[in-house]
Amino acid sequence: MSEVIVITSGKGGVGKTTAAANLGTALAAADKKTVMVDTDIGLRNLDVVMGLENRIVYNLVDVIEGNCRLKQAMIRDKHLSNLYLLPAAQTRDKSAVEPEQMIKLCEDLRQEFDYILLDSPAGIEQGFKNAVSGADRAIVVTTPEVSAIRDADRIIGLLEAAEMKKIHLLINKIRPDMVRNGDMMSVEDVEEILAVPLIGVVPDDENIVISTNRGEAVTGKDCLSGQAFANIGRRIMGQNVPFCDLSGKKSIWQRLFKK
Amino acid sequence: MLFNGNKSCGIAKDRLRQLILTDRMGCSPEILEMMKRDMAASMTRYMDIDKDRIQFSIRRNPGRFEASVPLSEISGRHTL
Repeated sequence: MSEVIVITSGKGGVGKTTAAANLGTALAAADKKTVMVDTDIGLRNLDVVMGLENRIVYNLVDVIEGNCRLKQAMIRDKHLSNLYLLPAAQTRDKSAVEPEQMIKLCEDLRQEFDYILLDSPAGIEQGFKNAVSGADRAIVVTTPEVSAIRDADRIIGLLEAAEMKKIHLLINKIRPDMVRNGDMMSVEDVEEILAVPLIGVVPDDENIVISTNRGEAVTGKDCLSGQAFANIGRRIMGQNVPFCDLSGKKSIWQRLFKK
Repeated sequence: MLFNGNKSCGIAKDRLRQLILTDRMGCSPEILEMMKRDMAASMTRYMDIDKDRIQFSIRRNPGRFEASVPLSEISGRHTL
């Protein structure tokens, strides 16, 4: 049974595209045929994060308008043969696509893929509505900061109003040292406020900047964020992976071992 | 609001709870204060409450508005 997952947040810059890229990589590495769809028309970025920016011929809008076949627009990942990207158009805007068209596209993609990840744009307007319309479940990405959490709450309200049955939380860019000092809200604080089940926690990691510079995912690399995304991929597939203790009370070796 | 210490995290949590409440209810903080005063005025006819420490929260799914009304020191000592 294929699953269409929308990755959304409300607030921009919290890590949706990074999450989409890395979760796509995690699922494909686990032998699941996966496509990542960039729905941020006009401000595409999933191609850049995956290092596929030079391979774009056709895009999402071309497919929807019938200018090309779906297969022609999909770009295969450089490393994983069962991971594909459907890029957004850069010279159009969000009004180029309607929710009904996204629903039809997702139905077509279900015929071929185990997992379809929709990288939603920031905001609550047309782009968000398009991305949500075709999805079975949602992952709401937030950081442990006031404005991000506030926006995430609004997004969760909109998802529930749209009758999204499965909504999970991904807390990104957590800094265990700041949490310990009382300078950053903890995972428990964020969970308590937003009150949706957690799918994972990703620590703030320089390796993400470095990997994006190179156009690579961190999943599969030997770093804390890579491990975290790999674990979230497993949880998406239904495996029970315990959450790591990021409180910093244990030593770094114990923390790595528990991951 | 509860005093969560000097650490910025505590301040953030208090502010967020207030923000999320007003966002979810779709009304201003002033309206919430008016609701608290009206509620306090009505409840003090029947019981002794600590009207300055009434707290509201709103849950989603299913939608539920909750008011938490601390009893005043004196009435708390009585058993019902």
